[in-house]
Amino acid sequence: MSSLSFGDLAQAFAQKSRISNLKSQSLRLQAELSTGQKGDLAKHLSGATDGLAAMERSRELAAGYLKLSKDFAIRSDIRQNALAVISTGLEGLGQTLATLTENTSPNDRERMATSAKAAFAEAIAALNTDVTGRAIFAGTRHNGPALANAEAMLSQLELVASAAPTSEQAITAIADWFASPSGFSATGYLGAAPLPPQALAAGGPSVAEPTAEHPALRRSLAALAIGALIDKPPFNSPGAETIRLRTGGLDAIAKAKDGVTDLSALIGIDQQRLEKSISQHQAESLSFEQAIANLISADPATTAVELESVRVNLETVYAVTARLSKLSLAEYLR
Amino acid sequence: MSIIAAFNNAFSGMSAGSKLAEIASGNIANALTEGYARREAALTSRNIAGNGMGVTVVSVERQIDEGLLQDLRLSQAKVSANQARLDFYSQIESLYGNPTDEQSLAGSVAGLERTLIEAAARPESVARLSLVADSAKQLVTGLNNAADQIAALRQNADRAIAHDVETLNSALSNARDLNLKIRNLQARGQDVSGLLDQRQQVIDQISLIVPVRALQRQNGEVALFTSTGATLLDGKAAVFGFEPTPLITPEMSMSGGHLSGLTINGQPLSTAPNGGRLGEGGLSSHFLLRDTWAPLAQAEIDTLARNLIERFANPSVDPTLAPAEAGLFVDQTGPFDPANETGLAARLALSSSVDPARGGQLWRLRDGINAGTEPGLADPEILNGYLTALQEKLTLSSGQNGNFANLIAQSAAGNSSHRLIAENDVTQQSSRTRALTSALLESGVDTDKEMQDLMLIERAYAANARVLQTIDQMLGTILEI
Repeated sequence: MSSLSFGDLAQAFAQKSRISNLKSQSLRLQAELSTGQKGDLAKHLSGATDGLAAMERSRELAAGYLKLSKDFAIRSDIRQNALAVISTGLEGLGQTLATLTENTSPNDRERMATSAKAAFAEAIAALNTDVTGRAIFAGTRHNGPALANAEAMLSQLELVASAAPTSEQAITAIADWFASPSGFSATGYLGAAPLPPQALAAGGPSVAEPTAEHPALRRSLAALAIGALIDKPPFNSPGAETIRLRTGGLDAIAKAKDGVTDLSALIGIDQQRLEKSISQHQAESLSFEQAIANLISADPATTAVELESVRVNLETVYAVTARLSKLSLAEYLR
Repeated sequence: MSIIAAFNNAFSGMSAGSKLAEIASGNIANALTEGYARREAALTSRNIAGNGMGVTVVSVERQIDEGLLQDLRLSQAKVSANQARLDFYSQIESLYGNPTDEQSLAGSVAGLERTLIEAAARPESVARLSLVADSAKQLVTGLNNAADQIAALRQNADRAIAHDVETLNSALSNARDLNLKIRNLQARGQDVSGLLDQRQQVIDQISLIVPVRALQRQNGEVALFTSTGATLLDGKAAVFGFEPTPLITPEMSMSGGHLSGLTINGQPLSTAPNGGRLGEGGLSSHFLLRDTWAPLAQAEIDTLARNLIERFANPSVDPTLAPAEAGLFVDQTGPFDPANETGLAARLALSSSVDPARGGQLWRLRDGINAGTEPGLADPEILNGYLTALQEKLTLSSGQNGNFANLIAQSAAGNSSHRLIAENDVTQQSSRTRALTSALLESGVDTDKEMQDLMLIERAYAANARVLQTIDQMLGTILEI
């Protein structure tokens, strides 16, 4: 018998490997369609997965800096509000002091002093604000308060002022107390060192966080303190002293208002930086997400088409297998 | 007498026919048997003293293309080798993790950087500090796991070598026994096809472990050699020796004498380079995994672990540290020694002074590892210092350069490239194997052909039977006279 034959198993083997190949393709495409992502990322990117990892990292960092910027923005806004309170207080005191004359009665003086005391207390309360339990003007001492209470400070300042013979010297003494490390810095300011400037992005712009020890704030408190003590010696001396008190007081208020305006402007710049940082990081987050999706997403339309063609292939192979299995001499010899 | 000769002819025809029917039925019965070689009978007309005396079955031959079989065996050995390489690199790839996964090693570093930024925004927040600690732990656990898995792969390879050597030894001794039986039966003129089938299967088994070449010797015996020349079976079967190591630690190596190599008949046999005299197959891949690939992968993550520790072991980052003291990340077996890099990834840990689960305090993340009491200040300096330390571009001894997240991503990408190359090799070699298998199976049993032959045999048998009847009638006619 000559050997003109074709083994049965050869055909079966070929069919089996074709079917298993098509099935594994089909599974892969199904997974890609349902997750929307390419299955084998390393193959899709030809092994260069570190670029993708870098993009994911940038996206994470953008999220982190976004949160940081938002936290700082809240604090900056509250700072700006506190400065507004102080500014209003100074404005009010200025108007009141302008009406002070030699003929002002002691009762009027007392009224003026009481309203100035209230303004002083408001300023201190504003500087002692905290947000989510963190004191804003106390530097690294997060659980505050930034300043000692108004009563304690005023009673100290009363002693300081009464030790001076004239109004002018008393005003100077109060200013000195606020500037000295053994005065305000020791007993008035209860906070700690200011926080270092914080970068809003790797190598980006930074924002500062002033404390209540800032010179502009010290001057403001000094000016308000003067107003609160106008019914105490030596400010309550009659006659020419009153004029000098008014002049000196208005002068201190003017300087304090300038300082507060400057500080407010600086905080305003920081607020702008923070706003810009927030929108920038939000945009970055989105753009990185987009870039990553572009890199790894499996287009559903294309995948569906491929899946369909694999399905058709598989069906064809099944049909052919069924037909061929009947194509055997044994069938026809029945 | 001619009529008796005719009788004998017809009779020989019938017995040849029944032998052919036996062979055809045997073929059909074994149509689905793997490793069965189709039998064919060789017929020849008998000739005694110049007179034709009918037909005889000379031999029953196994139809198998030895060359094709040889190629297939070598191809299968290569597939085995390449598949082992693909499996290894796929495993390592999964240890590094998918780049889009937050739990991957690169993702863990990015997460740690993010939690540090957020903690610097509110250093007083215990919640944010605790997120930093969690991120750091995730990174440490990822590296620990990777080290443990690599060690496990190495251990598995060692066990696989022991198993393969056992299989090889028993297969070789089976082949030798079959050789003897075949020689004996053939000498007595009996049909040895079944034993030949068995021997073919045994040799196929061997070919998955080592690439084997079979050479025909006299009397139906076969000699086996590896493709690179070592003798496996030539009369006597070679005996392979190997000592499995019950526990393999990262410092162990074959060159250091801790791990066993392969011996053949008591002589050491090297499997490097490219399988040495053993040839590239499953066995040589296991050795490569145990002695080359896994140690290299281990060294890569150990270098990364060391880089991590060194970034934080810096008094300018954490002023509470002594010079060269490990900071946030430590070697949990003792003081950090840069020279002791092997196995560092498994020993990496978060400093216990910041881990509340081990008696540490979270505020030390903010105030310094060795800080005695909590100053209670919201100072972000050390946290910012940690962030800068992670983001600093440093160079590894391998020449890679970048911030820590980059270094991890580069190692992962390098590994993925190895995996893709291995996948390519496997695909190529597999398609070649498929083509060879297909070609080999084509020469197998074809039931259609057997049925056709049976029809012819049936007709021939009937014709011979008719001849016998006719001769019987003729003899009867003579005897009736």
